[in-house]
Amino acid sequence: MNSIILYVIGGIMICFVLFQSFYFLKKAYDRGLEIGLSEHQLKETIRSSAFFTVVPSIPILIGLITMIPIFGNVVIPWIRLSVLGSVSYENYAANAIRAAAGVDTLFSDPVAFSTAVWTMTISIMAGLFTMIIFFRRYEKKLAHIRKKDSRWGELLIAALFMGLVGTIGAQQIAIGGYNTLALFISMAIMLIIGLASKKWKWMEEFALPVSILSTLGILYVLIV
Amino acid sequence: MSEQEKYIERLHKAGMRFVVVGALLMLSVPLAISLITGAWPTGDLMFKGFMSVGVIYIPIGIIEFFNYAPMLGVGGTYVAEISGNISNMKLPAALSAMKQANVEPGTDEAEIISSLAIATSSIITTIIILLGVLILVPFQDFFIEQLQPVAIYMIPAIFGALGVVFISRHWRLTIVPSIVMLALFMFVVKDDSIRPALVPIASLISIGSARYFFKKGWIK
Repeated sequence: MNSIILYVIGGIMICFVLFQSFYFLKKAYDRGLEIGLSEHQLKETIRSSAFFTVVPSIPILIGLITMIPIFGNVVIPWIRLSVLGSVSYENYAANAIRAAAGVDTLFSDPVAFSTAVWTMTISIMAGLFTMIIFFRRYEKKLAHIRKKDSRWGELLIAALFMGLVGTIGAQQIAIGGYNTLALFISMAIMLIIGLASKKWKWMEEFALPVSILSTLGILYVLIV
Repeated sequence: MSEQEKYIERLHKAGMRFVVVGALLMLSVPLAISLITGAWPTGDLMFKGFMSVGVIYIPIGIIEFFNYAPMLGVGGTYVAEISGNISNMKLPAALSAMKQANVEPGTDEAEIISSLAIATSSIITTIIILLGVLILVPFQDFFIEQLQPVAIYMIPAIFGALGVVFISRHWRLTIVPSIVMLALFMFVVKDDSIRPALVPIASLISIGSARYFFKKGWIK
């Protein structure tokens, strides 16, 4: 199943993702200048986001590599993780279907292989279909709330974030062990850099990547 | 219609086209596999697949969209929904950028900053994955052996640091959802694989408590 056609489709999809990203980047950049954000601030956002992305890309790459033995090729994991996939989902899904089919590797059985790819693709597209149907209406409703009471609108979104942060935080504490340790080390480092950056402003942009990387570095020393 | 509303409307128009093309492209992968090999999914196996994968991930996909869209902004949502890895990359990238630019999520400025961050993040990670495939696959054993033991702690490392950012901004809002979720995970939900799926419940609790605090005048 290392067909050249799949590589071609993969290539087209990557180009599509890049094109779409550049399109929205350009639109946001132009609009940013219109509403009075400075060129410096916009460029700074792009630069620091590029820098920020490097570290969280590593687990995605590792996830991709661990999926290779299941699919027997690199092309499917590559496509799945470059477009819409998420590293935890794809790994889980591939393994679940492999287990359901009762095979060791998906490529040993073409039917299991094709079923796996169909199921993974359709399941992950649920968010996309929801977006097609509801996004405009949903976004209008949110805009309405913001217009009516802008302070509550801001708090509402902050509260949404808290739901996510609270869940992940509580999850890591509930797991215990190195997960809890990683959470608290990262919080401590962030706190220190945050306080230091009050005096040295330049440190602010490194705060998040440095906290993440040093946490992983400390864990590496402890574990490996 | 204000200028910002016109801008958002243009994003929706373009975004919907991208989403439809993206969806067709995604479906072309399994279709190509079935056409090439002549192996079509069997009903029985497809059912088993959906019972183990779809049953969890279809609701998650739907709920995640509603949960993340307000945080990501319109442009950011279109890019993030197509390029994926939202909670472990696109969302943290957007948050980090909004914090640095000193803008509040939900404002016109945040819409711009978030779109820029997510689009940049999507471009960079696509390139990194492509390079990674080309360069690292030959050394996959070494890579897995050395990095996997710590890479699994990426999520607590990201959210610990992000948590500090949020607690320092709105510490009153963090109390209720964190305590409720911690109690829930310690005593009720012991299966770790379904814990992240409870984010929307935490968000509802969080919004409810925020509304209460706001009405009472405890937060302004």
